[in-house]
Amino acid sequence: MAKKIVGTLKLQVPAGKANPSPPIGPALGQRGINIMEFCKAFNAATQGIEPGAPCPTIITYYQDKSFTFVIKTPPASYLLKKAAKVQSGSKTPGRATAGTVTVKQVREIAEAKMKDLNANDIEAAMKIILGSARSMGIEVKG
Amino acid sequence: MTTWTALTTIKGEGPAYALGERIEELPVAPTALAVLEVEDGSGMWEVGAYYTEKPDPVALDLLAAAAGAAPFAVTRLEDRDWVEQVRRELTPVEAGRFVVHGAHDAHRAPRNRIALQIEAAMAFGTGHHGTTRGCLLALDGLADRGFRAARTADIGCGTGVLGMAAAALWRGCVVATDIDPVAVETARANARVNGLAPWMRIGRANGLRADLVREAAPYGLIFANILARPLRGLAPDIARMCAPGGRAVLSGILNEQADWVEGMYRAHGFARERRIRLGEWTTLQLRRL
Repeated sequence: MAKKIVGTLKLQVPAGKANPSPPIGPALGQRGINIMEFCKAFNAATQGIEPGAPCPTIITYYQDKSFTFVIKTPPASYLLKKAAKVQSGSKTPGRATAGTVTVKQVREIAEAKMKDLNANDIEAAMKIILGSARSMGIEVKG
Repeated sequence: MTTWTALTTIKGEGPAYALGERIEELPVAPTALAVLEVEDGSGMWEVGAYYTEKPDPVALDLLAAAAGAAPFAVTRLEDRDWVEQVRRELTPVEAGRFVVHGAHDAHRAPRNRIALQIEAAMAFGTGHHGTTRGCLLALDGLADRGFRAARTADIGCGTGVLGMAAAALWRGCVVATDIDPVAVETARANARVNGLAPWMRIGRANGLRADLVREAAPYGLIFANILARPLRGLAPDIARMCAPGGRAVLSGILNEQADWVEGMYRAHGFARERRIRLGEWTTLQLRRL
């Protein structure tokens, strides 16, 4: 069909928990996009992801109000906090440590996020994750 | 939950997306960001950010000024039933004897029309667009004149709405294909919901050379609601698979491209029967000589 893109919406939606409350309701609703159809499709598509994990989602919508969406992997900061078992990063990174992760965990995060990172190989992806860990005050050991 | 919005407009798609990225880099990032074309032909784009707390208007206006955008309008959105609001906006679409509606409007479908239930969701073809409506109007006109096709093809079927309209009208064989697997699944589900699955063969295919399409050829009617350039490329295959006296209904053609597409089909043995212009889109109804 003759798809004419009107625009895109970027949202961070918890896996399996899309519902019409903000920001989904107002962001989609103000543009006449079928909220319940999006929620249904998103929740079905994220069944394999840990419930509640924040998923950056890009919705493209068309002139006839139909839409498609792409789900990215959860942010590195979320995955690092989860691996370090901490609620938040350090308020003074470089001086105070919020927690620690292992190199193995950094590799696992890099592998999980590889498809969304601008990296040619796993080593380059790990460097990006290490940078995120540093900026959050999460120490990498091992 | 309180929602704050910050909206601005800016000329051009590139600057709009660049401004969106700058907004995301602010210390307080929005929970949602929309970058959308203003549909009035002005070339203006809307950039909208959503927050759970009131955003810093100074930081936003500095970004707007640097990007050459209008100052942001920061407002608090009242809580409302957005689902209900969208339902009110997704009204049934009428095209001759056909009415295309969502499930929420099923009770409003007139009994003396052919009603097709299509959700505005993951595939194109909800009826809310001139290209789809143009094809339905062409089909309606053909039926008015007593035309009947035993076999119909819907190439690039999206939701499957065009093939379903032909199946509902004639109860003949309909082959519907799309290159997008999500559209194929959507079309199958729609055919089931509308009770038309027994007449429809739906599958994934690129163009008309797939076995699914070739096996049922020749067709009395071929729909192709795609875009001008691929339509031109499909002309030889559509000519080969359209029966003499059969019709091709082509859409996804901007008004200024209509002659360009029609010329290609004339060269492949078609004559124009009707042009339907809806907004910026033209639907061509052609007869195979």
